[in-house]
Amino acid sequence: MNEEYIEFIKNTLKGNVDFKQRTIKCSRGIINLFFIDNLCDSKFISEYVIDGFLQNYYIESEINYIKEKVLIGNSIGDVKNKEDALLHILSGDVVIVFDFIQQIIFSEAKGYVRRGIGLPITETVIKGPREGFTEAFVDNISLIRRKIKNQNLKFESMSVGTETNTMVVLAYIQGNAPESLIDRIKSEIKNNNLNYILDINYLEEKLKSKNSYFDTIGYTEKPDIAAAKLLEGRVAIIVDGTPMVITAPYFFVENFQMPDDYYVNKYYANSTRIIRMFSFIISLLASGFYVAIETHHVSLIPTNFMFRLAISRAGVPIPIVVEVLLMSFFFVVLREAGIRLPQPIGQAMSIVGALVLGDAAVGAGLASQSTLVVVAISSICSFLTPKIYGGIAFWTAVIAIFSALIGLVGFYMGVFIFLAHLSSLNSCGYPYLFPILDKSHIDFKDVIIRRNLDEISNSIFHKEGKI
Amino acid sequence: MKKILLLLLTVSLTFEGCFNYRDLDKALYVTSVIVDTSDENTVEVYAEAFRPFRSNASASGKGERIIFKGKGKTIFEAIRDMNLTSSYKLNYTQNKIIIYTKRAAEKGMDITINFFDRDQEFIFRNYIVVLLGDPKQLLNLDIKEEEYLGVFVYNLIDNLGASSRAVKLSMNDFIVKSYQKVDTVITAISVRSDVSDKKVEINGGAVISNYKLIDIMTKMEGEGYNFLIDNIKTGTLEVPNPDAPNNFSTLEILNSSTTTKLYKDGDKYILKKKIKVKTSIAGAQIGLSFDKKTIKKIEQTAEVNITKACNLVYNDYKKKNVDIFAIGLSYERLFNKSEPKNIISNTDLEMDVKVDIEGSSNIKNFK
Repeated sequence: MNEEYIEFIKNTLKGNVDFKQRTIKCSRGIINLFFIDNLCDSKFISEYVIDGFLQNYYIESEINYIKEKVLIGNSIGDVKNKEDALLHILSGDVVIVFDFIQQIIFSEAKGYVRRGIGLPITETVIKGPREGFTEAFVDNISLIRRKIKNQNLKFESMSVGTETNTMVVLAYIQGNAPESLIDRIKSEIKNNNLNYILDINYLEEKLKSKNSYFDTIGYTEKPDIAAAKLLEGRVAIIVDGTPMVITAPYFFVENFQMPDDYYVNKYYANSTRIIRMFSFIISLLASGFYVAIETHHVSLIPTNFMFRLAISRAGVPIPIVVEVLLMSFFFVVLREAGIRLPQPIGQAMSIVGALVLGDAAVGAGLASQSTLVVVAISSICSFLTPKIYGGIAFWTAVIAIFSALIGLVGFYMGVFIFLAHLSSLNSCGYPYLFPILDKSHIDFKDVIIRRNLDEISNSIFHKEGKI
Repeated sequence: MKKILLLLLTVSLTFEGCFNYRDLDKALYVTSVIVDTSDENTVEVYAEAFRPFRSNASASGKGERIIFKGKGKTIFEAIRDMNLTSSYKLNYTQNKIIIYTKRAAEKGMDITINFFDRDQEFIFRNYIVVLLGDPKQLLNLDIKEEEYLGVFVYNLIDNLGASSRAVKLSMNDFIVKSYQKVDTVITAISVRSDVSDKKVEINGGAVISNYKLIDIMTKMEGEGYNFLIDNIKTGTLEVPNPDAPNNFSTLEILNSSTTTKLYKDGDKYILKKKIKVKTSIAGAQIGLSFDKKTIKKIEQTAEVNITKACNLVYNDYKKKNVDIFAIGLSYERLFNKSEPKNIISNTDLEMDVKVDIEGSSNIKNFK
């Protein structure tokens, strides 16, 4: 039987440069070790696996004896079947096959190269913890565990992806997180038909509302935020190979909350939060309002200002709505270029691009200064809420088009459709637009302004919401 | 949701509503309209418009003032006639002022005013004035303060708080009063030669009865009229200086309110006007002793002056039988029946004026 195992492993993994087989002769017979070179710590294998067999002159043909007396690694277990053996090898374990014992065992010897814990780039803070998640899920678990020393904190692991067998860990605090939420997420993870998972988004897309620019599932690369969400009763999902952790449920208002809101002066945090909300409103509505007023409701503009606007637009060959959409498009292009290029070039490119393009467009008579100002303000305001940048860009265009069709009436229609769309979204069964919609299951107090920490540091679910 | 979305899209794409899409720079914006009449009994309309354009020489946007003239049997025809000479549509949403020449106002505003009421582009928050003079001279004026005549006259009337003698009436008030068949007084403007150049000035009021100009109210009468119709925001009162009888002291009006009561006394009607004026001493020629007696005397003199001014204008228009004080309207509201004919001739004015002088430090702003 063991010969079959050896043949199966060798045949399946043959041709792989990193697949290694080590054969040891001991007093009882031959021992075969199978492992992947770069996934395992070669020093560990030499010292705690091979050395154990070679140093013990007398070895009993009894598996428990080997587990207890020969192997001194911290994690040793039985291999259930051939597929399990392969999975262990590919996960960085050493699979040990004896010709004198029927059972096949594995010893954990993971030792691949890991990135050190670094600064979370997308969630920088002025004050507060600076550590960020890494690609190694075990590190991420330990980062959370270090913050929550609670016996009810559970990390349930699952292997997802028929081809990648990626480790997915579901984290929650038993008693805080609603059972229904845990079950829902577990079933979503298990009942997927994914062949492979390379990033957290593979699961995120399964969990969030479809057909929307808005993410109804939260993500973070900061362990303190993940820990806070868990303590609030939410569920976190860690995926091996991703330095992001997703949290659910996630509400729309959380887009305006920044990591250091809870670490800096309350009043300062609240004022910046309100600025973010205003910025969102400006970024969403400014272009549409501008189009509506300039094309249909000129009488609402004070005369002298209207003269200035008309002069600035004089000679522009394209309609205002096309001008606004075109300029918005260029801003998105510049933003994309800034992100994709290496950072030093990207920054220079964004600034030079914006300045040169804007000035040249006005000089060439392709755009008016007023449109540039409106689009620039709208774009800059959207940068304050980066998580909904995509949604803002899309809905700004929709509202602008509606405004161009029938002026302010269209503008209000666009806003109405936007609100209707937001209210139709849900995050794992909870209303995304909370607290505007159903509040019966949620007791989330950290909505518009940040209250005192002792008031908001509680579970966000009512008792009845937990069932 | 899908049904609502479909409905909204259908509505937005099929019904255009009152407004059409038009880019801001693809129109000429009229700032003032002058309505005149010719000897042939046709309507002549002048429009001063703002045109945004891009200068090819400097590759930058500029604004230009253009004057249009149209002629027609009706005002609408005259306005359409103007469009024959303009590259873009004339847009009236920024119109600040409607000017009737004296000749047109005398002939009757009813043949043209209906258009301004009905047309969607004309807004009601602008002013209506009567020009005492030649419209061409007014349009050819080189106004230093403002490039556009309409904007200048609008600001001029808006700034009337500085004078208690000038009359102002918005287009909205004029239309409403006309429909109520109330005789009205609208601002009269004229061109005056100043030290170095010619300027537009507010020159009293034009009395309109049944859409026809029937009289010109002088600036002196304007103050009494404004007190009577509760239209004083600020202004000045000049009273003799008690300490130097040949000189004056000036009171600045800080606030004024007039309450009206109409009641029957035998065969006559009494129009009782209770006027309360808060003032502050703005200045005195030669000087003033600020004792209670002097202040009291100034207050009493001011009260007498206001009473005199009000009686003067009231009796003048009572004699002419022109109800510019809306006595008929007050009667209808009070007694809930149609006003008797010529009610003003059967109504006496009773005045109760109270002037208070406050400390000069109470002046808060210009208006």
